[in-house]
Amino acid sequence: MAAPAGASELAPHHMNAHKAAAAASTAGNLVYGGGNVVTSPTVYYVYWGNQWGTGSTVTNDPSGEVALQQSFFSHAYGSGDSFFTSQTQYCQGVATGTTQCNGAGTPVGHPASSPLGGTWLDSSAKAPSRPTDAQIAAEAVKAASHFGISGDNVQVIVDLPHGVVPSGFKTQYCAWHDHTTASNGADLPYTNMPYITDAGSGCGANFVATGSSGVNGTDEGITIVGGHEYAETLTDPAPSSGWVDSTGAETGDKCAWVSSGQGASSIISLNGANFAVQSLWSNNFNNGAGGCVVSYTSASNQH
Amino acid sequence: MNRALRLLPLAAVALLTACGSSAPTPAAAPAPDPSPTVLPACAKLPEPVLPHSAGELTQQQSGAYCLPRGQRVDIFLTAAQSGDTWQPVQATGAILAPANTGVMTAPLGVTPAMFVGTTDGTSVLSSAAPSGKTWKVTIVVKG
Repeated sequence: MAAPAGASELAPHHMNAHKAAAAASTAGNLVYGGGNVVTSPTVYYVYWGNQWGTGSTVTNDPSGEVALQQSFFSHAYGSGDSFFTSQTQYCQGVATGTTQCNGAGTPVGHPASSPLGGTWLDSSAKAPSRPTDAQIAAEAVKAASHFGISGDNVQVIVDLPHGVVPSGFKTQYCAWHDHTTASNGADLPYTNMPYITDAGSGCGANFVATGSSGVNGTDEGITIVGGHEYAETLTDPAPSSGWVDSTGAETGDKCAWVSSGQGASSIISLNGANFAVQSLWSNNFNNGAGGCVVSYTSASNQH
Repeated sequence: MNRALRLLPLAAVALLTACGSSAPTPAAAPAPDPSPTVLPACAKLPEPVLPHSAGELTQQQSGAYCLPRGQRVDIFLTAAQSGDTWQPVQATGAILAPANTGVMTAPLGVTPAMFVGTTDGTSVLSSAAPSGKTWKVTIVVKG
């Protein structure tokens, strides 16, 4: 089997429709809060509601979000992924207040194979048209029971169907992550992931010029937002006990919607497949000053 | 927007603080402790959209809003047009502590902020946009 292709930045230039966003937070590096990080990540998707389809297979997905999400995580592993590797510099088991692990403690995990652990279409009922936070958390718990999982190394992504708009989606947020308690009493990180393309350019559609990458511009938000929330769950699965800066921002938040310069959102290759992503915060970039990066092989080889 | 609150003169609050309560004080009562701080009237925060929040504010709100001590207020300031993104929200004093905004991906053009009320008192939240627009809200933290 051929060695996977390394991740590379394929389309660093951006469309002109968006004014360049402020390049990263000015609040300094992420600081360890004493809690867990994800040391062995596995992602589970639940497609909530029979709006996705009435059987066990998704049949109503006008933007093809399910396939793109699954492809994104199925390619995010090993040496062919030098994007999420930037988060492996963060760790747990070190002193609260630490900003540079330097090999101490237990690092954020980087999977050797696909971190996609399972998918499930919960078509037992229609998802509410405007689900509450509590209903989304309850669906995550239901899915965790279905998969038989719990703990901070798993994350359940609750995928809402096309047309379902929880309060605040599109206007206040594109997605968010949190944690709740699984039926066995263990912690359970989960993500509220609405149907991102319903939000259009506000949540990433056409944010990055696609060039010849083959990426569909209207779908870019699916992986930009998906990668943002995944990385934040890796470093802060039980908010805000993990890695957060002095203003409360996590790794993805500090680098959201950067459209030019260092850390600009880009199209990258993960094991030979191309995806649009935003950069992630790296404490050890620029000799420890920190910055947003889209590629990370080591502390001395990142950009 | 609560116009009554917006028009509440802070001078009146100061005067109330100086005068204390109008209720009669028993002649034999011991000298009171130093006057407790009288906090200004405040309105209930609009309902939140994120978990663990007491309420939220946008650029549409002004005036004074109540925040129970130990709870969180979320702020979402949306740019009216591309390039007119609101600056990070600032809070006066030390009664509000920044909280985790990173749990969510904010839409393009939205400046988010979250604060937890740590001690009783008032703090002014403010921001400005490149076009010159400004936004200001008073947060009243009460236990």
